[in-house]
Amino acid sequence: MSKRRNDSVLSRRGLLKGATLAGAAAVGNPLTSRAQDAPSTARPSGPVTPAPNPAMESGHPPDRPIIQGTSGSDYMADVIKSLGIEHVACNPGTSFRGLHESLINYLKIDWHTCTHEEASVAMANGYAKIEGKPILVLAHGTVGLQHASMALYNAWCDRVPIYMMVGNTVDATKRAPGGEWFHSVQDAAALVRDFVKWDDLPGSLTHFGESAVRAYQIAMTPPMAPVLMVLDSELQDGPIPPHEKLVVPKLPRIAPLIGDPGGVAETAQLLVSAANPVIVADRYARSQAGIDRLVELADILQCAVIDLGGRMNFPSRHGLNQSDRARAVVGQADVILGLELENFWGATHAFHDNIERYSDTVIRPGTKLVGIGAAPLYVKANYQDFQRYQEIDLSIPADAEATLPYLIEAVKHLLPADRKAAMAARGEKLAAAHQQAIKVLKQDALYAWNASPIATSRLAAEVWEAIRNEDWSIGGISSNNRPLWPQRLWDMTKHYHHTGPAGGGGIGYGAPATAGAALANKKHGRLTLAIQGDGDLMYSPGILWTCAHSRLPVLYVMHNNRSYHQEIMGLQKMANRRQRGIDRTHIGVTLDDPFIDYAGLAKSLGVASFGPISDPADLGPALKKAVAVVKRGEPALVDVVSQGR
Amino acid sequence: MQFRSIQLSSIIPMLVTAVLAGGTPAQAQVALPGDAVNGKRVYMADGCYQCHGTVGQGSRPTGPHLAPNPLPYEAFAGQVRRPVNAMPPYTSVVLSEQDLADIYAYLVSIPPLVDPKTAAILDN
Repeated sequence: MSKRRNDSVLSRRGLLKGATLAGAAAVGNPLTSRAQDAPSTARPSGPVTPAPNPAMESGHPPDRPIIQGTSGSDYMADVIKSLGIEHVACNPGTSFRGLHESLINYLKIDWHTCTHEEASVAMANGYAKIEGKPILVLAHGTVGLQHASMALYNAWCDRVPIYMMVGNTVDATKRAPGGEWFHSVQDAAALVRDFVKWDDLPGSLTHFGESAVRAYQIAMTPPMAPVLMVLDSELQDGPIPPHEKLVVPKLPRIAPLIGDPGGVAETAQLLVSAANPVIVADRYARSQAGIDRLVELADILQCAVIDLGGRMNFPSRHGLNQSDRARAVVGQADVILGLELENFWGATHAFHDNIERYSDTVIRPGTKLVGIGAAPLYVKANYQDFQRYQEIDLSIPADAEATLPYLIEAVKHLLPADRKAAMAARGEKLAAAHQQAIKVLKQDALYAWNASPIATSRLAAEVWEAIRNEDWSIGGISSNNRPLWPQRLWDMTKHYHHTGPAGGGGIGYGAPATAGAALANKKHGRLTLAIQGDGDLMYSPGILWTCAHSRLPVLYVMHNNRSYHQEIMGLQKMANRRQRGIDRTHIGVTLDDPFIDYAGLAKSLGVASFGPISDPADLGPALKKAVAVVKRGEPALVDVVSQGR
Repeated sequence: MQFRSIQLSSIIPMLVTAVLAGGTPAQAQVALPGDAVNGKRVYMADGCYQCHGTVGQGSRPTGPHLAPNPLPYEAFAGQVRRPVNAMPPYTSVVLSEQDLADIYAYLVSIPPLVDPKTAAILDN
């Protein structure tokens, strides 16, 4: 690439030298000449038509270039291309118009117009969790970044690589008066520095190239996280300085950190010696390999696995999956292995949100706790996403997915032959408990089967029936709307079957993250869907237009409970604690009066829509029609008036 | 439409002091005749449905199912008045004895579960 860039510089530089309008040189300087005239002190006797101002009509002042042969942002585009970035999610802004123009005209990258920067970042989040790499997010360095900040925080907490560039005009003398001043900032990244892993403000194009590749490398090294590049508008918009010999720096292959061999061996010894070892996985599996490795480890040990759902970690119908009886299993454990389990304390305690908040441990005294995860490798102080401190016996700061093959080998090596029968019996017992849990689950699903509003169990069952023969993927999940019924009812085996909820609990993630997942899944021919919270959608409903505009095959099934349901329950608790009754606790937390017409909203944004559906008998047929739309490559929405949870 | 069920009347006369988990004595409960229609109104107005669903089906993250086949009245009332878990307490200041009995009548009136054969998609 660098050769082509240098050729381009040379060939265009000659053009640049002569890049002034011949006619412009002939125009005098009317501003100067008028300023030298003596001001008149005589007042006119009546209305006066202003004299023509030649300065406003004569085009460009002399000796100012009006075209350029090279562009700094073309080089930026070359660097971005070298990173393998295929898509851009963006709401447009003047401060990065130079790069915008280079990306669409020079690079011709695939572009996805978003109607809010929070949606741009969340879309990138959903994409990265499916595809394992970032897209590019562009935004204003001030107003755009402020809009984007919540979505960046979600990605930070969720250990997701977001590759973001924002525009800014550093040199005050280059800012147009008015808007460009309140769209400029001394230190743009300061706003989000607490929850991005690295940021930079390049002072030259060479600096940009090195930092852009460095940023990508940092974002993709576990623990993965957002990075931010602040791009001076002059650097983007202007020509490449003649003296600057530009090359595109090489991006290395990134090998994630594997756990210390001694620690891995010690962990293996604990696991094979335990009577009831339990594996608890949260943001563990980045890929199918991660799931397959965990299945292999669990099968060897015949031990319980609890999938907390931060990612799709373990097949839902595997007999060793004990997620539905986590508390009981943890209570019996003598060894617990946490994989990318940042909230170890929460997994081992019951917390009581009463007038006096208190907690109980739920594990037996002497239970050995081991953690393998990348989070301890990069921690910041201000935001408290690192959770309460849990005393554990062995911490292995490393990437768990990359470490598991070594742990599997160590376990195989240490596995005593005389323990295999006992382990097999343990596995059979767990499998029987799993089957019993499924039986109870199906019984539970019968409650309110024919109710209106439609039960969440019926909703999940009908959606499963509509998509189970497709290659499907749940995109983003609204923060407090983890797919409890789908995780329990559906046959989940692939890493893209779901990717977990919003990392920071910020509402507004689910709908745009699903769009990003759909972008990733599209080239694999997968059907992307969301069981979409109504409150979540209303943060950024414009994402539906993005789905239509970008022809994203995605199905939104509204879990329309017409409220911010989590908050209703919190208010009820406060009101009853104070003996004031809860007849007014709907105030501020319900989405009614009027009800929101999500089908009408979707239609207005170019998305095929069905509903609102209140009769459960109507749900299956509507879903069938909607799936047919999505299989044609277009988005669809089904509005389902639903029970709270 | 009134729902004053036979099942309910059979337990109404009972005066029970329920001893809840944790050893806390519950308030004595006098069960009154219940009106299921008003009970449904109160159940919806007072937000019971938000955690337990409109027909008492419950939800694992928010609260257990209450119907069909609700707990005996005294256990039900004890839990409402002095909950043993995260449920908000509904004292007599915010929920009268009559409304509590009416809610119970509504829960008793909820029909049995559907035949599993009508929900065959659950087997897929």
